[in-house]
Amino acid sequence: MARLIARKFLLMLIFLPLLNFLGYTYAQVHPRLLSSPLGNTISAEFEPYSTYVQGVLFEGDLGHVENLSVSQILSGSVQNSLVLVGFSLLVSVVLGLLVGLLSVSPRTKRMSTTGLFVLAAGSSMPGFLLGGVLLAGMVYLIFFTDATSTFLPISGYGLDEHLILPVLVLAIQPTLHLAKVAAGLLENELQKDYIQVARSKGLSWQRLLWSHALPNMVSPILVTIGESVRLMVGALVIIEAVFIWPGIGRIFLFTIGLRLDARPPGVYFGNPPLLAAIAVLLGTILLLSDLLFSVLANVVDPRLSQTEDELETAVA
Amino acid sequence: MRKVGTRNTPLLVGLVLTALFLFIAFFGSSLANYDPMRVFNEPIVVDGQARYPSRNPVPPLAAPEFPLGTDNAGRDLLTRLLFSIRPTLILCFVIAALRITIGLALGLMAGWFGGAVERVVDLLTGASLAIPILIFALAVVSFLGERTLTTFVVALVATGWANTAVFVKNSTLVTKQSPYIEGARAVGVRPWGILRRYIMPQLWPTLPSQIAFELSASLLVVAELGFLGLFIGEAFVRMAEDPNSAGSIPVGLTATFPELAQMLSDFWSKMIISPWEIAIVGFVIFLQIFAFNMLGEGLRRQMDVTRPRRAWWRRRQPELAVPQQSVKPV
Repeated sequence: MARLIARKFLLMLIFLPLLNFLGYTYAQVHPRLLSSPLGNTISAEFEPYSTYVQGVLFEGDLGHVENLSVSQILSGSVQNSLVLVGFSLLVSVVLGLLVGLLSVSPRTKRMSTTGLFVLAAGSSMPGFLLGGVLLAGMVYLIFFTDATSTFLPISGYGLDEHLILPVLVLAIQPTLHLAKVAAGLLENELQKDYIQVARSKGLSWQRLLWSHALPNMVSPILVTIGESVRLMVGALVIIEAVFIWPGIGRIFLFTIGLRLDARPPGVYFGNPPLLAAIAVLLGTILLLSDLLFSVLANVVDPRLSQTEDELETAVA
Repeated sequence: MRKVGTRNTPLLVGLVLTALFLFIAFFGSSLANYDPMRVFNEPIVVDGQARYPSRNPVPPLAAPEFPLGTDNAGRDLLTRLLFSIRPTLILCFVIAALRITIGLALGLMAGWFGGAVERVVDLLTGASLAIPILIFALAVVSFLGERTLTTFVVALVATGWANTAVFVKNSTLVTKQSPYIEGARAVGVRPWGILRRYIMPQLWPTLPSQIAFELSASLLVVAELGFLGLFIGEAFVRMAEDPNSAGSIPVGLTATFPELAQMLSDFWSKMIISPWEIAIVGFVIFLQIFAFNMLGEGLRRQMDVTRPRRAWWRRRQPELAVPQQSVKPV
C-alpha cells in the first residue's frame, strides 16, 4: 500500500512538471494563424520558460493575461468545474450501479436484451448531440407554450436548477460505461462455482447479489469509477462549451483557439502561462482521482497490492 | 427447434446496420441525384412561393426535388449524406486498424519479453490512458492545423492504442504461464513460433469485437471534433448579410466536400437556420455508433465460450490424425 502511494506520488512529481513544460512550449510554438481562417495574428512576445519557472518558484507568480493574473482567472473556474464533475460523479455512480445491476436478469443470470439495448443506445449518443437536442427542446417549448422563460435554465452557472442539464449530459456516458462494466462483472461472477453452491443451498436472489456477488466486484468497480472521472474531464471541454458553464474546459478551448462561432479567438488564445497552468490543473485532477480510487480499490481488496495485473484482466 | 438463449440479437442488429452503412459507403455516390457541392441559387417553388435554397434553406418534404431538404448553404442534404458516409468510414477504419495493430504489437512485446520492455510499455500505456483522448486530439489537431486525413489519424491513434495494448498484454501474460507453452519450449519450438502458433491464436476470438468497439470510439471522438469545428477537408467561412449594418459578417465555417462530422460543425447557427440538418445528421451518426457498438457486443457474445450458441461458421475440430493401424491377420 505504502509502495503504491509512493509510486503514484513519484509519477505525479514527474508528470506535473512535464505537463507544465509541455503546455508552455505548446503555446509558444503554436502556429497562431491557423485557428481562424479570417486571419488574425497574435504576435505577443512571451518570456522564455526559464523566466516563467523562476517567477512561479520564487515569487509564486503564475503569469498574466493582459491585466488579470492566471490564478485569478482560474481560481473560480476550477471550483465551478469541480462542482460539475462532483455532482455528475455522484449521479453516475448511483445510477450506473443501479442500471447495471438491474439489467442482469435473475432468471438467466445474463444481461437482458432490453438492458443491453438501453446501454448500447445510451452510450452511442454523443454528449454534445444530446445537449443540443435538449437545448433545442427547451427553446422550442417557449414557442409552443405561453411560458416566458425556458423550463430549465439552458446556460450559465448556478448551484440550483442550472446544474440539471449539464450534469445530465455530462453524466450519461460515464453512467452507462459504469453500468456496462458492472453488468459484465456481475455476469462473470454469476458463472462461478460458489454462486452455483449458494443457489443450490436455496439463497434468495437478493442475498446472492448483495452478500456474495457484490463484495467481489467492489474493487474493479472502484477502478471503473476512477476511469469515469477521466471520461468526464475529457467531456468537460464540450459540455462547458455547450452550456456556457464558466469552468476550465471553456478556458482551455479559448486557450487553444477554438470557438464554436467563427469569431476570432480572444486574449486567452495561445497564452503560455495560462495553458501551462491549465495542463497542470487537469493533470492534477486526473492523477489525484486515479490515486484516490486505486488506494480505495487496494483497501477493499488487499490482493491487488501483490498482483496488479489480475485486476486489469478482470476488467478487460 | 431453437435452443434457448442461442439467438444473438445484438450481432444481427449490428450486422444489418453495418451492412447498410457499408452499402452507402460503396454505392452512395452513384445513388445521388446531384453534385454534393452544388449550391442551388435558382428559385424553386415551395408551398406556392418561390424560394432560393441558397438564402433560405428548404426543410425536408417541402419540395419534391429535395426529399431531406437542403443544408444551411443551400445544397441537397440527401446527396451530401450519401456522399459523406464514405470518408468518415475510411477515417474510422484507418484509425481502428492502426490502433489495433499498434496495441497488438506493443502488448505482445510487453507480455512476451517482460523486464525492461514491459516497464517501458507500461509507462507509455499509463501516460496514454491518463490523458483524455478528446483533449489530446484537440491539442494535436489544433497544432498541426492542416485538415487532412493524416492529422486526424495521428491525433486519434497516438494515445488510442493503449486499451488494446493493456488487454493484449494481460492475455499474453496469462497464456505464457500455461503448461503447453512450457511443453512447446521443451520440444524446441522457437520463440517466434510459440508466439505465432500458441499465443496469438488465443487473441483472435476477442479481436473482432475489439475492432468494432474501436470503430465506435473513434467515430464518437471524430464527431466531437467535428462539433468543435475540426474536420477533414477544405473549409471556408460562410458570409451572410448583417441585419444590423450594411455589409456581410462571417456566420460559420463550412466545408466543400461532405463528411459526417463536418456536417455537425457550425452547430448553433444550423440549429437556428436548418435544425432538420442537425437532427438528420445527428441521427445518422448515432445510428452508426450504435451499429458498431452492437456489432462489437454481438461478436463478443458469439465468441464467448460460456454462452450457448450456434457455431455455424466455426469449423469442426480437425480430426485427429490417428495413423491407420494395420490389422495383422491373426
